[in-house]
Amino acid sequence: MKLGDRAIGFLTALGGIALLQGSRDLGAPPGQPIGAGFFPSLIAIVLIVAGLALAALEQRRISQGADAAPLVRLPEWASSGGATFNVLLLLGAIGFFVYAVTPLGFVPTSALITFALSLRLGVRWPAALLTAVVLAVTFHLVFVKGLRVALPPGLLAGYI
Amino acid sequence: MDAILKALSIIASADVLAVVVGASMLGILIGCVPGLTAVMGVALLVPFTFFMEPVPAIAAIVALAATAIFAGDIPAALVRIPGTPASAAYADECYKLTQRGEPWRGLGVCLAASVLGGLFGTLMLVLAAPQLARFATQFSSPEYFWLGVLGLTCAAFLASGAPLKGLVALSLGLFFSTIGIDVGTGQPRFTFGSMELMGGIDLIPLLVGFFAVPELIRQVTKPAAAPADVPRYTSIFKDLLRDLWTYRVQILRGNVSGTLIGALPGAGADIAAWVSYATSRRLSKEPEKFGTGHLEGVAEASAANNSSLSGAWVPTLVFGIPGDSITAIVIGVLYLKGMEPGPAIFVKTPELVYAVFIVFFLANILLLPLGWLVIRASRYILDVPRNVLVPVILMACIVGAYAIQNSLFDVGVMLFMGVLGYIMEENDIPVAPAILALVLGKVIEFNLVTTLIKSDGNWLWLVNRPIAAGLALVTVAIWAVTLTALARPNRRSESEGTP
Repeated sequence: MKLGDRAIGFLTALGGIALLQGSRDLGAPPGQPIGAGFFPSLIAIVLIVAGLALAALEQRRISQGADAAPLVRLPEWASSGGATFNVLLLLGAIGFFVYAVTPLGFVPTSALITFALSLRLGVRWPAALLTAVVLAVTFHLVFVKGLRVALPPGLLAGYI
Repeated sequence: MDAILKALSIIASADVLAVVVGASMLGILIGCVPGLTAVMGVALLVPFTFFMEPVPAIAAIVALAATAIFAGDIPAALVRIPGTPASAAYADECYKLTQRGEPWRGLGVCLAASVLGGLFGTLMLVLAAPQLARFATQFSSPEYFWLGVLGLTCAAFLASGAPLKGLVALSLGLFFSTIGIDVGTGQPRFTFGSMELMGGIDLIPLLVGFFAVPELIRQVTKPAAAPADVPRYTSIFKDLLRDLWTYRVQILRGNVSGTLIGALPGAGADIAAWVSYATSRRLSKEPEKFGTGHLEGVAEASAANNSSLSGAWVPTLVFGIPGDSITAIVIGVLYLKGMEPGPAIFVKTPELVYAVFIVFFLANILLLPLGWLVIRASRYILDVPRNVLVPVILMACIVGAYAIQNSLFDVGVMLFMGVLGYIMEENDIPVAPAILALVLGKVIEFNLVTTLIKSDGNWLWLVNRPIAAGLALVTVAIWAVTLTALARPNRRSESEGTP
């Protein structure tokens, strides 16, 4: 998603205003001159100034005759249904891991993700299945057995 | 002398040497595959370093980065796709050599110049860091505050072609650094009631998100590439000595400028290569040959990007101010390993510092045989298909983000940062200043608040010591020059200014 400089500027300035408001809510404790909101409020001021300057520079460029960039432009791949699906699958796979790894366990979850992604990217199903199993087991051996990372065993608890 | 002997005994152990060789090989593979950068490799390596002793952990990072930066030259020369951004400056020039039928001659010069650059940068690190550390013992909170601000200023203004967007990225990183419990007051800030956010945003999920997820998105949205057509290997050594002698001045100049640019906070190997290639062309007696497969700029830029890696360690070790994105990660690892960066590290644990120096030499020397082997094997490595690569990297990202704190929340943070990083890159907002700001934000805030509390709120205390005043002056001068340039009526847009 490509935004014009004016859109980035306004969003940045808006973020700065929100941060300034949030910082003001963090009062200083009694007897202390400087509170938790002091430093964030300095950042907020920089954000507001940088955002407004970015928008103003773009506006000046347009007033000097330059073409105005559209406020929002979708990436080229968004026009292709296949590519959009790939991105959703990729990001969805990370979300799926977060919710599924505890009940299902690391090996089944990672195998499912790898199988689905490989299949989608053009690998034939027997090869995708083999890749998924090998990858999940390798990661399990390296991280769980080798490095003692507590990845959830889930359905395979007691077996691995 | 005792410290050096201790350092040698640490390095001479089988596990350290095995880690250096293993990380070097991994670095070469990562550098060779277009899209996998040295920073991404280091970020994915961090979860493994958690389970290592301090020296092998640092050794792994040093070895991986040094070899990955060189290996990025291989696909640049053979298929015109830079393996890492550090090779982009001279990818066309290298490819022209391949088209002329001399790919192995070009890669030979890249390899030798990279080794020489790495060794020169390391020598400068060994000589400069202890001297600077002695000087830095005079520093107090105002000096550290200004050093942090100067570092971020360089990252946002000098190292990025779009200063205002650099400033936006920097502010975003500073904001992320404020999330969590405020150390001064014990008050939670911007945690939105989340227990996980109380501890702040961890660097690793942010790094993996910023550097790996956007690349994965690009990989799954581009059409599958045709298999690389790599010419048959002959020899990289045939004209090597003659070429190195011909371009000895350029290589030396690349070494010096690379080391200096590396030491500049925020400017890493890619900027060192761009600046050196441009300098080489400007000072060349045969500028008309540039762009036709001329070795002069390739030799200088290839030396510069590797020497910048060691240069970046100077401010990292001495002041705790990272010189580039890789050393920003290193600072996190140093803290975790109980090696707090700063002048005291040279006194408290000198053997570990010397061990790091020796690892630098070792990794750069090892680059020569490994580089030669990988050039010979490049035909096979460049054929690794993306449909195998994407699931492997995705799982490495997820497990890497999770393994730091065994936290699924961190996997969610990685996902959020990945989408944010992709949007930032699409809009030419550099991500490096945001990462440096996340690392330096707490340092800057702590030293600012400490100075103001000590002075009862008197802001003049920030500049009433000579070194602090000098640092403040340089910082203000960079701001003034940048803002004046921005205010000029005929300035191009921010996006056009991006290199």
